[in-house]
Amino acid sequence: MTELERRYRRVLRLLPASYRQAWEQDMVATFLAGAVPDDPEDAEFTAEYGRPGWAEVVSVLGLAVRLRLGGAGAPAHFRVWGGAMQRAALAVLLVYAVNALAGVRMLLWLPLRFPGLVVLGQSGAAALLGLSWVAAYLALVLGHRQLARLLMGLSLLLSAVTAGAAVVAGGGAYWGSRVAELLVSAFAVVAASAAFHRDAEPVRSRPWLTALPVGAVLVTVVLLLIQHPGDGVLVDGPGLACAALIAAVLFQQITSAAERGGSAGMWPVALVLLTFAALGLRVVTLLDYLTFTARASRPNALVTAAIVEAVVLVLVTGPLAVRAFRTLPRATHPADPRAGSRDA
Amino acid sequence: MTEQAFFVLAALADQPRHGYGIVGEVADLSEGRVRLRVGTLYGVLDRLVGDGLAEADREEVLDGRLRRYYRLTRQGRDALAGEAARQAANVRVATKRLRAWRPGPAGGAV
Repeated sequence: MTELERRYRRVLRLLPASYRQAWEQDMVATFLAGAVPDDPEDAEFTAEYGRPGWAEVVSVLGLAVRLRLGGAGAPAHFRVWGGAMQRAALAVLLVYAVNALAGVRMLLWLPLRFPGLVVLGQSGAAALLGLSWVAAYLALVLGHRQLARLLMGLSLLLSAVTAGAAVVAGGGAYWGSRVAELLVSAFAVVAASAAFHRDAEPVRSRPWLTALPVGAVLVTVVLLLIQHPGDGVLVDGPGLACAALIAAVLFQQITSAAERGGSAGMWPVALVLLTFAALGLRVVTLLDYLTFTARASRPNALVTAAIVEAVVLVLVTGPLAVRAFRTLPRATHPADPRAGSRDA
Repeated sequence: MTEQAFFVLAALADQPRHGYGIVGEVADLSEGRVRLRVGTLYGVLDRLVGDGLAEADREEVLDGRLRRYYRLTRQGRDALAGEAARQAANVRVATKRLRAWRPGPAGGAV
């Protein structure tokens, strides 16, 4: 085996093993036929020192993503992963879209509640810029993939700018939380771009469209409640995310017996992915609280609440994760092209 | 049907071809416009075989390496014919409209 072939086979490891079993030999033969020149001297040099070009690597990477996050007609294992990734990405985008709507609603409501109060500056601009997440979410749910990718990229860029401005304005405080939030946003954008590929199954738009106004109303109510004068605020964004996930996991555990059809198994995997994101955010914000709120009025209560949320989320999601991955269908690839393996 | 799938089916329409043969034939048929990378080609071939539009024809060993040839199935031939008819109808409509087109006054509405 030449070095060039070895390098190309290394690239092909991106593909699922079941797919490689069926197609790898043929792919290697086709690649080498095009990559090795006719001249014997050049051929020897290329075989020893040549590497697969970027375009070849990208084409294999694109194929790997489409196969591993399979759509209609794909093996069950990859369909579950594709559906789970779609749901996890949509759930994160829904949170951003809901937050953006709730933020704008508060922006409009505050001057009515407190006449003379003008909400401008960084928080007002951030609230308005956040509406790009709403547009990205709606584009994705309604099946406009290219537009959604563009809007998600724009939203991510705006989030990075506003997060950077907030960190600078705060003298570097809570930078870890800002970075963690950006990483979760980036995960959602990458996951959505990958999972909503050309062959992906479309999602049912109605439940996701309904979730947007319902979520915005719920978050607005919570925001109004926690702004009520009292003993202080123990609920933050990651805390709300943990609480929502705990509720979703418990609901999933109760209704799992009734789950049937093509989408079975997708939500449990999606909830496990979301748990990782929420836990990461919870832990980083907790560390920030310990660093930056040491002298605040109620740091102990805030830290205790964050620890309790994280522990309960792990305890609740653990059994679901075990069940989700135990019941995941085995990875197989049915379209075997080998001559004689199919009926002529 | 994607443009890539269309050209792969068209490349297999006259005779069975192996992977590299398909890449070359698609480049010829599209006058160099469609250049299939190996990952892209096998993504298309996998889908065509899965949908029953193409299938393996035979395998040959050349210089110690296995070469697999692919051929069009009857279903694949029908799909290609249907797509070709659809595209031809589009071309007819556009050509008819273009014949009727007259340039408007420069800088103004037609």
